[in-house]
Amino acid sequence: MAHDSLKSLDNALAHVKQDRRGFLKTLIVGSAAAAIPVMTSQAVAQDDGGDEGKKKKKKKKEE
Amino acid sequence: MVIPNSMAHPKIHPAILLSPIEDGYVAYDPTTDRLHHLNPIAALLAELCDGSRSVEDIRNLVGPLLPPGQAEMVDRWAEEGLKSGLLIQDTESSGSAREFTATELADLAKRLSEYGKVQTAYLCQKRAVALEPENWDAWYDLGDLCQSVGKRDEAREAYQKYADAHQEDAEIQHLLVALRDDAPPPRASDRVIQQIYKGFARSYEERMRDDLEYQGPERMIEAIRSVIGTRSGLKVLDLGCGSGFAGTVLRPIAADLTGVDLSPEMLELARKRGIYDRLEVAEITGWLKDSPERFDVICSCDVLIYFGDLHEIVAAAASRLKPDGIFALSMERGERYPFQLTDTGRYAHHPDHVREAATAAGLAVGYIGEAFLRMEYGVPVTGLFAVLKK
Repeated sequence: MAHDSLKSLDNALAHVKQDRRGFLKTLIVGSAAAAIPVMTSQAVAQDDGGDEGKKKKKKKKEE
Repeated sequence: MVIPNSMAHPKIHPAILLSPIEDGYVAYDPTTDRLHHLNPIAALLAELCDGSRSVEDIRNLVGPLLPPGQAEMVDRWAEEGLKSGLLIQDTESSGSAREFTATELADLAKRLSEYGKVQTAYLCQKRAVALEPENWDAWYDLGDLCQSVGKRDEAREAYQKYADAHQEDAEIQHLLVALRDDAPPPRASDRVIQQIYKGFARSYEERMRDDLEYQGPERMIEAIRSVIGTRSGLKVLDLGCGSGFAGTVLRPIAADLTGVDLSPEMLELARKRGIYDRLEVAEITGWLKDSPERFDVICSCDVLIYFGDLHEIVAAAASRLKPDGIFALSMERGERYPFQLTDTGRYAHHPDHVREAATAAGLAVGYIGEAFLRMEYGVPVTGLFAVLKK
């Protein structure tokens, strides 16, 4: 991330709860440069093949 | 519907449960049972949406981080957030969103997993153990989800955490042997098998048939029929009969059907079917060695997945066959010779190993072939079906 962008990021993070700043900075610096905000939504109880299409395995801890 | 303008002061809906995860945030709306997944920049926007600043203020803060000319994406995101119910105007309600507890996250992960959304479930569960690192069962569930999403090393670490706190858990120790790539034991111990099926018995049939599309018995009887033709009225041993899945396809060819299994819980399920003439709780190799009986058909359907080297069990079965008797067995088909302990804790066998064990026991291979066995983590498992003749 460019120096100017880092400065802008620090400026934005200064307005965020302190305990979130480090986490968000790591995420944003580590993500693709110049990313845009993206939100995906899904119904939890909808068996539509799933976001990854994988089912659980044979054995499940049930004790 | 409230449409934002640059002067609106959005905030996260007070009913929303938020949590950071490794690639952003998840926001769960219990009123609609919907989960929103926010990428890192969206997570930053969510943090800035606390009702104290306008969309314009937020755009001024975040705009410089966006691609040139894309600052209005902040407005669009806020609009989308309002439409989806993630955001409200500050004037609409008091209170603020709160963070998930570890238990809430784990519960959500469980539900997501049940509906096949394992990647998101994994992310939620990972956060749950971060919040409550001494919840050892949560580590087990994380290991399970890691396997679902193909994170083998992480699965091993998560299971190890659980195992460190549960030294008595034979099953997990066995699984860790596979995940550590240690030399596999000749077979899973009786304790491992008993533990697996003690926990598994209650939901066994539903999971195998509905979730995993298990077709072992159907393929098994086809293999048997290819060798014995239309013979019936036979003395049949269902070796490792479990709940009696295989018994249902063996019964039509049997005049006498005996089932043997190590798990009392599974045998109880078999008993309820009412198709066996006799059921015994015993370890199968020992039972074969001690039995004076002879059988026309010995069938071991999806049982030798707990055995590595097959020589001993095949020899024991051969010793209990009548002249012209057959030993029918199904396994998971392995690519590695002679066999391998897979990451699921089960063994997979190479066909050449089956042939060698048959030859050593004085049996001929009447049939050997491959077919779909069941699903595993969303992937088809190929079964290896063999019928060995006296």
